[in-house]
Amino acid sequence: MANLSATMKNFCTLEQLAEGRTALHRLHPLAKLAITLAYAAAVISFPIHSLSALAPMAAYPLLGMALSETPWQPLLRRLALTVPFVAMTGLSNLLLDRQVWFYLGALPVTGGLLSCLSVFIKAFLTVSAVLLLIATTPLADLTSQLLRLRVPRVLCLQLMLTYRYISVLLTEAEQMYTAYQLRSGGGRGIRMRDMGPFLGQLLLRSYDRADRVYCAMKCRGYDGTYRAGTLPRLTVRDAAAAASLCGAILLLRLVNLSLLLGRLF
Amino acid sequence: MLTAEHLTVKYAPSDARCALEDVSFTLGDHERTALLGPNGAGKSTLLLALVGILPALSGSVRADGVTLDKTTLAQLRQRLGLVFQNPDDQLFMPTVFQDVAFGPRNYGMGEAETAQAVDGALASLGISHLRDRMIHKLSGGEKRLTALAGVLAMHPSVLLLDEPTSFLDPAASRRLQTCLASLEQGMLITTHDLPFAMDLCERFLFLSRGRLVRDCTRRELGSEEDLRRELESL
Repeated sequence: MANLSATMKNFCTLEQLAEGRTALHRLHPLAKLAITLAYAAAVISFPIHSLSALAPMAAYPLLGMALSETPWQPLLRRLALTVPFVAMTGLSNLLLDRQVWFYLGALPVTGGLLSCLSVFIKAFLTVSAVLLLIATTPLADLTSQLLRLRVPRVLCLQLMLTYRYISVLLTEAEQMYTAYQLRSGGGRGIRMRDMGPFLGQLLLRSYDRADRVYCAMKCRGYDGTYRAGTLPRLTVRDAAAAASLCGAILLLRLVNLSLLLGRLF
Repeated sequence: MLTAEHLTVKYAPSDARCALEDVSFTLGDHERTALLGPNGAGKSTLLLALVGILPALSGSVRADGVTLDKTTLAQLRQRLGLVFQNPDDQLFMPTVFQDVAFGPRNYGMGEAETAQAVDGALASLGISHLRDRMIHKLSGGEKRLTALAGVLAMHPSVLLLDEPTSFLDPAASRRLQTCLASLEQGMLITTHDLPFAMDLCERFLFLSRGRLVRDCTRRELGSEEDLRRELESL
């Protein structure tokens, strides 16, 4: 709770990054969406124990970040958020599959360990690709594109509203927390007995805010249908870039580059 | 022109007290009117009732010949542009352009027309440079002007402004006043900022406990001190 300001600053970073002007930023949102989906599908489709074959797939997020001049730190911070969720999925494999596949020196490497690592790597690669997409595409363009792809309007509007109002809610929580600290007589954090009223108040404020936002939307003609703006047409260059990147991803999926390189040496 | 006749509003039908009781007034074209009164007098309630957000128990609202009812809500809300007290309640899209374009798009404008309306509204307030900025990066004054631009882009004939100078420092307040003075729309402004009201408005409506208790011009009212005294007596 004490780091709300930092959280807010951190929260705004990706949106700022999306304002960049590199070639990847300029690529049509549909092209980027197609590349990201193709990449995620390719990564997920690798067999659960194929660790070495997965390694070349790291090229896309790495090159993408370099080309789009995306700094590592904010992406790594967000990537770290996925660790507990991935761990919950991956660690159970260690217990379920104890068959020894090979020995690394004296250390037995089980099928469970390989599949656990595979889950971690796949999760990090796919999340990195999604973060790269967000860091190079403004949210408004992304939602407009999703609407064009017939993703339900309600879902797109929810996405936009959530993104916009998380910062407002954080500001509100931060103000409440500051006011609490000034009258709490020292100590860190919120005492357990005050947590209920604090969260309740935050919920009520959020409800009030949501009500006012909805009224303001109605005052500007909102009738339940979210109307996004139009995007520029997909150019031949965008389509060619998407096709060649998807082709490269497919090639990396079908050809085990690690194995080929291993045979060379 | 905006006309409210015998407007009565209750928050809940079972409430003993009316939030607004028998409020009637007419706002002429291009007329700038201040709506004054103590806290809880019903100023914001009146604005919400005028655009049909709060349903009236009785009475009527008419703007440019359109009478408020369920079938004319959209038309009336285009004519009466309500700017909320807190711009964060109004600005919900990620960028300034997207937010200002929200109204025009809802009213069926094409993309070219929408872009024209947005650019026109931003230019009229001198904030064209904010066009592609992120909303959460704007200052309080910039947010206020952007919220106003979002309403102006719908080409309303009357602006309803709820406490437009709240959250603003004196310089930003002065800038907003200059912007508002340059607009041709009629305005109904709720405010506690008396110098702002005196400088901008030529007519004053006083609300107290949901009732319209006085309607006068600036000349009839006198000085800012007279206005302060009048308010304190409510």
